[in-house]
Amino acid sequence: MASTPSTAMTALRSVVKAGETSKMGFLRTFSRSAPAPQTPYPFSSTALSKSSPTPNPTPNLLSPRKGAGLINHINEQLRETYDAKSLTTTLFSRRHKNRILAGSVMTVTSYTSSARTTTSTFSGVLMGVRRRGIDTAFRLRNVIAKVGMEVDFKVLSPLIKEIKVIKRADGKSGLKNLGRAKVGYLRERPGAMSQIASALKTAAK
Amino acid sequence: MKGLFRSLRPLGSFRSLATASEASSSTLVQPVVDNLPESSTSSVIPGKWTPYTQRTGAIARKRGMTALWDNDGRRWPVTVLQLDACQVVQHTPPPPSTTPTPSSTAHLHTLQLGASDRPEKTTSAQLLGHFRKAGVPPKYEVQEFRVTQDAVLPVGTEISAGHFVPGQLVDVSATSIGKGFQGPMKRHGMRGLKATHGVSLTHRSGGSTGQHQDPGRVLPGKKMAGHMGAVKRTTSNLLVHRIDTALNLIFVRGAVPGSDEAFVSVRDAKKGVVYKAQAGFRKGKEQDKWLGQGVTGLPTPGMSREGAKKAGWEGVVEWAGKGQK
Repeated sequence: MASTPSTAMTALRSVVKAGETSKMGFLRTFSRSAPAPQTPYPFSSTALSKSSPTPNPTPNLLSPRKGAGLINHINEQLRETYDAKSLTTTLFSRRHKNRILAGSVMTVTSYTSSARTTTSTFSGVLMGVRRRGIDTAFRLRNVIAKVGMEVDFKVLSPLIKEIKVIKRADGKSGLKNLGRAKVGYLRERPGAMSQIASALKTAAK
Repeated sequence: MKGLFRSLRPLGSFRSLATASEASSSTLVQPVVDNLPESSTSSVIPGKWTPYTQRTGAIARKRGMTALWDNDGRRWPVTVLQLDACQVVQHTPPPPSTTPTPSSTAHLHTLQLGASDRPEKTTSAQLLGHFRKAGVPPKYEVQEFRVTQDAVLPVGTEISAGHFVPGQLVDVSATSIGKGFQGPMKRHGMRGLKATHGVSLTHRSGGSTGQHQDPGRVLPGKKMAGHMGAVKRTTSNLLVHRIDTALNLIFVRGAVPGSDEAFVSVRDAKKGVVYKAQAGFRKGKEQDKWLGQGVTGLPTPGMSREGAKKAGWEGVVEWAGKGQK
């Protein structure tokens, strides 16, 4: 049976009812830091609830003529929740001064399971960044035991623990600026991969 | 003018449902329903969902797709459905002398729902009269839903996204995207013929159309080229991943027929909710186990916008991951 104490619920209901009219409005406008007490969600024992990021939506969000604006709004709200480190707006953005360039050497530490107990690392050269807002992803290539391996990572995945840039391909710190967004041609250039391997070795030291 | 019509809606016409507890408990709030017939053949507790309750669906707008991450770190592509002024326009009770039988539907009430306000200027005089009788603004889309007596909603009730519970399964119907005149490979998934090795001019055709002298004709229903799409299709058993009662959004897992901005009909899944719960009930399962994914009940008769606000629970409710929180 769902475990909601009936007396507490009726007590909460009376508080909500009492403060419902002008008092609630006053509270909402003037004390955002002290939200009104919320009753637990009664229809599911496992669902998670949180306050809506848009509590008072404008008519263009409630009844838009075209839904693209609403989807953009939703994606922006989701990005704020999922991208606490602002990776999509700095490291993986199109025009930020500290954006990562294709050809750079990176290391990604990710959790191997939802329990988040063990991690695994993958290092490699950045083949390219696929920029799609909350679905932004990047691909790393490395040669491990003479086998070329490419791994895709979603930037906003909760299972990614850390993304570290070891060497940037900006032409200043050893690696050449390759001058393009996607460097798939490196698959046919083993010489370039050995350069990356040496960069990783020095980083390990 | 729009504001005038909105104010005609009966405010606070019913309350939301509490937990799946007994009728005598103080937490259960009785719904105030109008237009109920004199004789009540149902002996169910009002406001409590049962596996034999048939709730109303809702008419939503397909706004687009996005992705949500759960606490386990798993990514779920979701379709965003928005309830755009979905109101009850008409309630038709069943004829007085119909007793419910397992197979017939004659005992069910009919709720006519309307969605998306439209300007009076573009509405015909006949429809204007129909909506004015209900006291609701004119609507673009109108659909009917069959409901049992305990799930009847008063005319004018605006259905909220809180009508659906994260973790429940829904069936979503809409008119599929029209593809025009298409060949059998696209239309019926036929494999066509070889690209080379002497095949002349028929690489994408359907091949043979029958046998020989017997039957000596092409049988009716033979899969051939023709018009494809622009028909009503239902995608079943889609999980409701998240609801947002402030923006009136239902995030449904997976894809849904129809193009963006299309009107879709969202209902409790026939197989995933109704049949599953009925089978569980017959086997004597616990009430909390009738529905899966931690869902303990469904708002009955429904959840209005006023009800969702008064209920006091937080605006966004989401399906939790299976693993750790």
